[in-house]
Amino acid sequence: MKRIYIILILLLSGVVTYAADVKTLAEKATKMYQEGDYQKAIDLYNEMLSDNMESATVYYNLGNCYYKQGEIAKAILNYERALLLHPGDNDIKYNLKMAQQATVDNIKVLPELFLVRWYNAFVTAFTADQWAYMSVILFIGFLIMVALFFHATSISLKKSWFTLGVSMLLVSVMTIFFALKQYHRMTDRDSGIIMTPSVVVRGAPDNSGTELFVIHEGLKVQVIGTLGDWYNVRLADGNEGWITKTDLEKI
Amino acid sequence: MKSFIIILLLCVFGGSKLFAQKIEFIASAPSVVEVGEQFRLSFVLNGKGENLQVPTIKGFDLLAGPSLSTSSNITIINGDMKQNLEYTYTYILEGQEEGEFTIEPATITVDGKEYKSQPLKIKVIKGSGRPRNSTQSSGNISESRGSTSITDDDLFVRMEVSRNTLYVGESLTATLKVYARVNLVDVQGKKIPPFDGFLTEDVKIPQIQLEREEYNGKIYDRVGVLQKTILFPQHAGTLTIEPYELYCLVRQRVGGRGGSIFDEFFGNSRDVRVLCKSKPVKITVKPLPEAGKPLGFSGMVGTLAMTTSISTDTLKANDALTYKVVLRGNGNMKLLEAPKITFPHDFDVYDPKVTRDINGTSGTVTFEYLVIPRYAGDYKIPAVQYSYFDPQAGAYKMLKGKEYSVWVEKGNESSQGSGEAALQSFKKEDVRMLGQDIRYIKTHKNDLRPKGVLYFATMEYWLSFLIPFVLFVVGMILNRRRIKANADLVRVKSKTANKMAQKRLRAAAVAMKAGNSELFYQETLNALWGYVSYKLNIAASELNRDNISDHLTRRGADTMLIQSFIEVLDHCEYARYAPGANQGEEMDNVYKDSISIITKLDKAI
Repeated sequence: MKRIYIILILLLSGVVTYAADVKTLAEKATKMYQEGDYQKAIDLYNEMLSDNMESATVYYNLGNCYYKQGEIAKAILNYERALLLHPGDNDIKYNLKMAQQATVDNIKVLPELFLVRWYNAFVTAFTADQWAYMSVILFIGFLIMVALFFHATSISLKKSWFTLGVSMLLVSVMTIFFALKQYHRMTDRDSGIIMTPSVVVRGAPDNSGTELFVIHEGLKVQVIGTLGDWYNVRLADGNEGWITKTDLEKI
Repeated sequence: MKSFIIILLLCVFGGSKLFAQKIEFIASAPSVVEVGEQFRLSFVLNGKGENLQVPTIKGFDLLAGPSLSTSSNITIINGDMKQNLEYTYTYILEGQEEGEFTIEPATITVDGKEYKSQPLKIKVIKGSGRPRNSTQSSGNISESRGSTSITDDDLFVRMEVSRNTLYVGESLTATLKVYARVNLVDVQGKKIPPFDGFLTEDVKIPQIQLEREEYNGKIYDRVGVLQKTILFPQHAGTLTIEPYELYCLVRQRVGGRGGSIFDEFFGNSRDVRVLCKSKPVKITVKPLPEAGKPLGFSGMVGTLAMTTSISTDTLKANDALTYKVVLRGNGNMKLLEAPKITFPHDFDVYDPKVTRDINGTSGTVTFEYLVIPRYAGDYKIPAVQYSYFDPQAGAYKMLKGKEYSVWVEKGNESSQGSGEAALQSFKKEDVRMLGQDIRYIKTHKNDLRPKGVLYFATMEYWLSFLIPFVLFVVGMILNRRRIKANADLVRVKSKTANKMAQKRLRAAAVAMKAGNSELFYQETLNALWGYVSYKLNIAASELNRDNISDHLTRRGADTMLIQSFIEVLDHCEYARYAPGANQGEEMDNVYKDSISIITKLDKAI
């Protein structure tokens, strides 16, 4: 019994010291950012992200540092990563837009049906986990409705509990579906940002492949295939081609 | 009064006569002479003087002098008479040796006041061996020379520049000069090339004056400045001033013999046109160094000084304020740009009024900014910064003005009268966008967590569906069972109630037959209470005479029945403790009543 206590205390203290460490790092980085020493701030934020950690806030702050240093591609990459973790955050969206204004390529996004656009915007408004929590809460709500339905004495009450319960179940199933979609978006990570100032997109995964078009740093592309050291990418306007893996960093 | 006016008039006129004649005492002599050449040194005084004192003249032989000559002229302009007297004291000197000599100032006394002439510098150079006499009239100058051949030595055109190397933005003076040792009469332009690559500014020359000058060790009697231009190179590199081509008209004597002054009048001379070409001049223009170039460099090259001032530091809103920047310096002042002043954003700023007072390359430029603060408050006008390039030091220099604090009081709106100002506080304004920037970093959130750990994909997620569902199902089943069990118990109890009552009543009947009245009533009461207790599923201990009617009414029994039920109960209670005389009949009645009531209750409930 005593041993368990000791282990618990050790674990807790570990967590506490870790949290304190991160806190001082964050404070230091904030100070560096205020003083305009963006390179130091970048180093500190990267230290926070080492150990395979991730955080929308840190990605966002890192993006800000890179933006201030004029490294637009890296800024966009970090904003995109932050947005992936916190899809609905207005600050991230705003800064991403600001950074994208500084990029070279003006890609005409293929027009989507407004319903599809709305649907996508709705689904990406929450993370997979947020959708997952919602689904659980709705499911529990459905169970409560069922219980109330059985307990109710009058028919009108029974009717209303029934409709509420059924709709909750339906919405719950829908949210599970949305969570699944978001989960795939997060785990597949099939989008990337072009990191080299100027990239020639080729028609084949080979240096002798026909040069199709030129894109520039900061552009977001979709990776639809891999072959050796090459990525098959698709632009927002539907154009496809091959680029080397070093030209792109996945979000 | 009249006399006063006369005196005043006299004063004015007398004064004008008196003061218009400013005494001047001027020394003059050629600036260059050859060794052995005779020349004239003269002191000219426009007035009558006395006691002339000439210092000893070093380096020259005094051949003659002083000789005094007088001339006077009277001019009447608009009825204003002016008399000019001129006394000239002339010395004739001869240079002895090469070198530069200075003739010290001479003094003369006019009306008890002493006047000084300016010192003169005379350069004496090696003679060309020709006997010369500068005192001769110029008409005979070409006498000793051949009449036909005019060499480049005797007549040429030269472009003189003040410097050959300079920075972009600096200026140089280019002077076109004609040098002649012959009788030059006229100069006509043939080819006047533009100054390619330069911005030009002509300096006005009132009249071409031919003067004596030395060039390359030779004396040229007729040297004239034809054109003087200030050049501003436009770009870096080597720029060339293209050669000028001019026709010079030279008057030559026709005959070979020594002539007189009459020859000119009687056509014994002729004019020869000679084409003169100036040599091209190369100018090296250095670019301004990139190193250390300040942000917002004005492009000014030269020397510059700046003063700033504001008209007031306390004013009311909507009143005007003048911010003045005076730049004084030397250089390309004409191209001077207005300094950029960052006034507070709520100030209305008008384009500056620029006053340029420039003479050639130097002067002052004044920028006056009219500023109107629109809202009350304390404002700061930051110091003006103005940068220029100093070619002497070869470095950029930054001028900094003063920072001003301006205190703006609330405007007196009622006194404005126009109504516009009074309305101003109700006027809606669009928020002006001053700049755009990304949003600031987030500082109050710590959402660091291991990468890729998602609630959605874990077992817990699916368990959080399953566990509530299982709990729900189990809860439902248990609840069902409990309800069912409860329902059975009630039914059983209510069914057994009649049986139990019958049993008790039978026991009462036995007691009645035995004549034990106390036991009879006891059993009857038990039967009645027990029946109700079982039937209503209420513990017997919770029932009494007061609440039984409530319970029974709730279960739907009618009041008559309840009344008779309570009557029987009361009767039993009473008879139990106070046995009457006719006991057998009494007991029989109670027994019958009890049975009928229980039967009726069983039907009613």
